[in-house]
Amino acid sequence: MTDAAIVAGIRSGDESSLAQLYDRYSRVVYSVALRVIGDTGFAEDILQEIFLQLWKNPGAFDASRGNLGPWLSVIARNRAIDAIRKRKPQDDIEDVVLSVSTNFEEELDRNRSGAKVRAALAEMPPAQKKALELAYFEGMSHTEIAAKTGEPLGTIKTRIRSGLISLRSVLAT
Amino acid sequence: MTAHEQFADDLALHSLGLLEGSERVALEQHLATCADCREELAQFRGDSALLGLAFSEGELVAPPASAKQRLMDAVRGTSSGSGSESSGTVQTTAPVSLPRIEQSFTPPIAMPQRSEVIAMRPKPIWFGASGWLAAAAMLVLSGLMWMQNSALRRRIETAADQSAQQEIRLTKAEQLVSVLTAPDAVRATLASTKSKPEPQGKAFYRRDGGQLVFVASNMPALPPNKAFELWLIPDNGAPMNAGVFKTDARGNGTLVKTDLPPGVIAKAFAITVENAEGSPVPTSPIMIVGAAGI
Repeated sequence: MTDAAIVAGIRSGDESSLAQLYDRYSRVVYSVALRVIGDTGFAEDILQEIFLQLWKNPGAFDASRGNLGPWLSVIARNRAIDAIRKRKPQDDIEDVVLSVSTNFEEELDRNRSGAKVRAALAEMPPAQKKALELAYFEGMSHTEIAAKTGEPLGTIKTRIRSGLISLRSVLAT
Repeated sequence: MTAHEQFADDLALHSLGLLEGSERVALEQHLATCADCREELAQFRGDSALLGLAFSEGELVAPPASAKQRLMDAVRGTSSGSGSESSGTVQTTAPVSLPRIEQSFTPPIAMPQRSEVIAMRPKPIWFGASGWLAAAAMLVLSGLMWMQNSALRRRIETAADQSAQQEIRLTKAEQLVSVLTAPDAVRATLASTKSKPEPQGKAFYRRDGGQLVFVASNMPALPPNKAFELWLIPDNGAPMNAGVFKTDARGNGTLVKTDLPPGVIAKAFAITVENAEGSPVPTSPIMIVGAAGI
């Protein structure tokens, strides 16, 4: 069943659709939150929050924009960063608009795409990979990364941008 | 995509929520009126999502089995999309009843009732004494099956990673060939600023893909711990590091880059001698330079 069909089920109040969605994406959401926040209890709270919010507000996910998996993954990351920064959420979930052309609905596709991204990260210059990881999983700003690594701010900015673009291009092939 | 180049870096940073202060305000004002940049922002968000989806099977962590039950208990009797009050454990630990997460979410790390949250999670069920033997046997059996399963998963992941790496290498090779043969590839011939010896370099560059092949010849011997650094001199702005390379005993060397920031218009290319790990800015005189032209 497609993500859009499952979300339609949630919209109509079908609890089994939510359970199905949970089975499909809870590991990704939990793993991202855990990687950022490093605490199983907090990660579980974020997991609960996100799926409850989707239950309450299924219209926040715009199926025409792409996949639910990447969307949930970004929201999990953002919520976890907000938590470690001890701040209120910076974005409403309906404002998190993202565009991904690759299909992540089937486990096989997820595994294949994941392998390609891991391979791209393995081939990335170490400094670029480090900058991306510090920005994504630790929520460090470009200024903080520049201070930590002793490199020019412009270099860090460019590294983050070109790093993201290279991830995009690896799935475009 | 025709997003504005001057906002390119900021769009990437904003997609990660890293932009602050006046830079963020300026970008958001621009985004309000620029559909292309909004689209590029969505693209960058999609790109960043890939980092979260790159966990291998071995890195993915399943939430506790009780978490699903907590969730289903919390939604039971609550209408989807209603925004009405929910009941259950989660609601009492963090307010989730409002439809917008901004209003309802309390960063868990700031929650003073952390111990309460933990206390409210379902307690483990302890087996009776008579079940210990059966439980121990099950544990051993589960352990063996888990080990077998893990080994198989590792082999599958390794094979998938190797396959993906080969696919990437093939793609890169195809990209390189296309750089050398494309009719729109920029070609630059670099010559010594002095008459002799005559080091030379040829650059083949495609700005759309950020791809570059540079072939050097007759280059002089390098001092210890030094390397040649190629600079892409853009139409607008400071020279950009386009890579570091060393030459063989005959002074020949090749540099291949496929990850330069795309879309940069090259005015010229130049070579300087820098420390072996490269430098963010040129620190020595230009050795050879050449203007870019189709």
